Amino acid sequence: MNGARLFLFGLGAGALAIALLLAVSGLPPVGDFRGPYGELINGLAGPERHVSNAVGALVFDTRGFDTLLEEFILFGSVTGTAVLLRPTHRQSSEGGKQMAGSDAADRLLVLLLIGASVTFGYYVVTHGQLTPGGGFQGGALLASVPLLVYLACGPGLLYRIVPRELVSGAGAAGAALYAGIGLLGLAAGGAYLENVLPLGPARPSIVSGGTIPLLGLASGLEVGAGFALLIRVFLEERHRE
Amino acid sequence: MSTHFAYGVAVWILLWGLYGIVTSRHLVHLVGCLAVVQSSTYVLLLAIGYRTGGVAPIFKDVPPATAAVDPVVQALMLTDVVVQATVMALLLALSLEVGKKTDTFSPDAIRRMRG
Amino acid sequence: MESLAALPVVLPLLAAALIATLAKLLPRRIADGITLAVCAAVIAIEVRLIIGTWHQPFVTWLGGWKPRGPIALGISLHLEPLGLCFALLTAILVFAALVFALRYFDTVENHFHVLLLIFLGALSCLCVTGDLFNLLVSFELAGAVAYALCGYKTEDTAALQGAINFAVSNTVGALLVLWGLGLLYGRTGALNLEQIGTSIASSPPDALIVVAFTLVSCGLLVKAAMAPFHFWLADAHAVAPSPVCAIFSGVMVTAPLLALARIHASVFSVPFFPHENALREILLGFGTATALLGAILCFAQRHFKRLLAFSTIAHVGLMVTGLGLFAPAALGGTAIYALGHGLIKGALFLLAGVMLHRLGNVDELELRGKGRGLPLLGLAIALGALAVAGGPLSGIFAGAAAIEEEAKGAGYGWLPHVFAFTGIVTGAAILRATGRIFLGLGPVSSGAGAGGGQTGEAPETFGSEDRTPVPMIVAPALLLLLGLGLGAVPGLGELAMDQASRFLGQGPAGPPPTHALEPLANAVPRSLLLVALTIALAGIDLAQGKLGTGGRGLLIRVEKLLIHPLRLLHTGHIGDYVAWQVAGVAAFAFLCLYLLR
Repeated sequence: MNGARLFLFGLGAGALAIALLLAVSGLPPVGDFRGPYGELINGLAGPERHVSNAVGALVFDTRGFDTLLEEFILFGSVTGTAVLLRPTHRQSSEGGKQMAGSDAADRLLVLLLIGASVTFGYYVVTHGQLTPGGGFQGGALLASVPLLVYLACGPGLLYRIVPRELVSGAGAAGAALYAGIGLLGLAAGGAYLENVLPLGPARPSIVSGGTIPLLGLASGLEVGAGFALLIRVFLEERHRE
Repeated sequence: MSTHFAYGVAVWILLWGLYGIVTSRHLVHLVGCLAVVQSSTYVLLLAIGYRTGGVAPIFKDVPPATAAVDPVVQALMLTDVVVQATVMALLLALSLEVGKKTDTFSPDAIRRMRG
Repeated sequence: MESLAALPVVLPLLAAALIATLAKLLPRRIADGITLAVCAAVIAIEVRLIIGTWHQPFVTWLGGWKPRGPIALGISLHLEPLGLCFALLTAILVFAALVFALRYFDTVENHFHVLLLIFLGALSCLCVTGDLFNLLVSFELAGAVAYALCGYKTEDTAALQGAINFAVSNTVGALLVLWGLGLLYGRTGALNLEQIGTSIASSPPDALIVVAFTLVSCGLLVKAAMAPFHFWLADAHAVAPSPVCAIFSGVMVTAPLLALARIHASVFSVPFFPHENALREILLGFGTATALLGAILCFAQRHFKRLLAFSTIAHVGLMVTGLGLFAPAALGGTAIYALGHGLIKGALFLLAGVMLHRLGNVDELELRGKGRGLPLLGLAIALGALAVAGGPLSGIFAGAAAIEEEAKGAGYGWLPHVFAFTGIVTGAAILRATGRIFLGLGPVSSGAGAGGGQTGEAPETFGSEDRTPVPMIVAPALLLLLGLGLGAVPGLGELAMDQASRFLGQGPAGPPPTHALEPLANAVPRSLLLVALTIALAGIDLAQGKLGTGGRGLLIRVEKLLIHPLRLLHTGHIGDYVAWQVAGVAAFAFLCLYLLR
């Protein structure tokens, strides 16, 4: 069967390659793109929303609805993964087998890294409208901390700092917060997800942007909790055997 | 042709990722190849949005009227990265379950329904 | 109405997040209550929106970001009856699935409710969005929870197979759509469907437009399970829990067809207009092949849910032909067909769930005669079978009549025969299974070769097997009644055609003209003939043992030459499926490149 499969794929891939190359030759040369959509957004992020990160303005304001769906993709997938890896009746949850501990030098390094990672993670989450970053990037950074702890100290401590119910509840709360903040727009008589909070100082600062920093915090909470839960669920699975 | 080289790279990545999926003998490897296929879309989108001589679309140190690259494709990519990560998590969880049940990670082990 | 527009999406998502936040604090009953209340609210809102947009579509811009001149900045929701009816169908199916799962379905920490609510939100968004990237993200959201729901029964390796094949196939499909989106964005700088359409309307299509169309269509058709992208569906819909299968087959495979129709109407209808005949023939070809393939393989199955899955594939093929006719009457007919099929197939899957609960299995041969004590169940499934065949009074009948009339008018007189064949064969397959399980008819082993790997399924409910809980009776009964009643709505064909004309008028070209349809009553005699032929075919297959050597020889030759090779193609291996996808996209692309320029 393998030969037939490869043959079929080879034919298909060859033809697809030709079709795609024909298609991309019709695109503007790399570097010459002048999309009016993007240029408008670049122009209005500062004046109209008091933020300096145009991508942030796009993600949390102009196309905030896409981001709402994306938040829920993360939330739904984390829930789904937890469902798929749930302990069945034959297994117990929480094996808690200690792996061979690492030595003192590793632990010291990790300790220093944890402090830096947490600080940097919070910085990225809260300054999303000013500098490259935002809820997603910061959340991922924060979620890497439990992984560092696991590498240095084994699964027991990981289970203690990522309690399952609390973290999954926090992730869900982040998602609910995002959807809920959008309702403020409806309450104020506008459209869903409309940026109706005061925009703050014109020179972008940490409190400017109206709903943008709040949505950023909500997504940071959700992403951080979601990825931390994923890490815990996968490592629990590994240590259950 | 050198003006469209980046797009060609995207096509190349796509096809080799698909080849990896079709010929894979290990489910985790298959998930990795799926990630490669998704990377081809990132290369395509970012190459489309690129602007020669443009800065990043962050206007903190530069005046708002500076020529910058397209922020829309970056926002699209941000969403896609999250979607990819989560779908991969689901697939890896499924692969782990297969490994537990059948002691192997081969796609041939999960051909219980055929015909 | 502005304030209601986003609620069908936001309410289920918010409720899902709240249920998950409270998690263990929330007893099962309350989670059930919240979920059912949210579904009911969404149904009410959708009905209100349908009434409000009946004469005039309503466009709302999320976040308050209205367009600046010709450039759309925000994401728009384009509310009109056809899309809203699909969203309504989703809400009804999710409601029925939740009623079915009430108290007896094995769920952990209300995760089932959370995933179903997210699914409802995703589909509500998908049916009305006017932005191409938002469409893709909605599909991804629906897909992500669907993969988890499909693999729910992790103790069963077949469930894992279904989920993995489903996830990989659909993710590749989504990436094809994203490639197409990238190409279109590179050309037009826009993500809003209307804006893209206006941008490319002025010039004839070049390779980029044609390939972008191919990629977006094929990606959506992967999710709709048109051949050769259909392999994953037979694996996935056979192993998911029954209430989930009802939703999958009911609306998840037909929503991509709605999206395809919308994208074609808004974006590609004007550039491709000179070549519409060629595109029509391509879609008719692929659709017919899908219908025939699905019908034949449906007949050869022993696993009842896999049998239903193949019949879904067959009917999707018919719906693709309906779309491909590019006329308001046909599009309206396809919409009615999809709604009717969704309700009836949903009911059939729920009834299969009842069968699994009472009899502990879904293997037709192993269950031979064991259903004798459940006459009502058998009757309900038989009714569903006749509706699937195109029996009078169902949505399937009404939709097919409109499509067939349009086909004959356009010169494709062979299409009604394809509809008839598909209906008869798929209906007969279900009827045969009913006869074998509930009446004990038919040979003990099927004369045709075995194969198909695993044919049984583990139970998914707990509680006493001696009685069927009331919710598990009410849910499929409700769906069956709605599906059968749909065809009885007077003037349905004309109503659908008018709405379809307005739907097709979304693009720069304006609404196409409509004409009067033949009264539905004229199609009833033919429909009764189909019912008779269906019963006859089922009877012939069950009476195999009584046929003479000639008859049996014929059956064996049909099996060896036709059915067996097709079954060999469905290997269950994901590598084969993706290879077929690549080949299919390439073939579609080359056909389009050759014929559409």
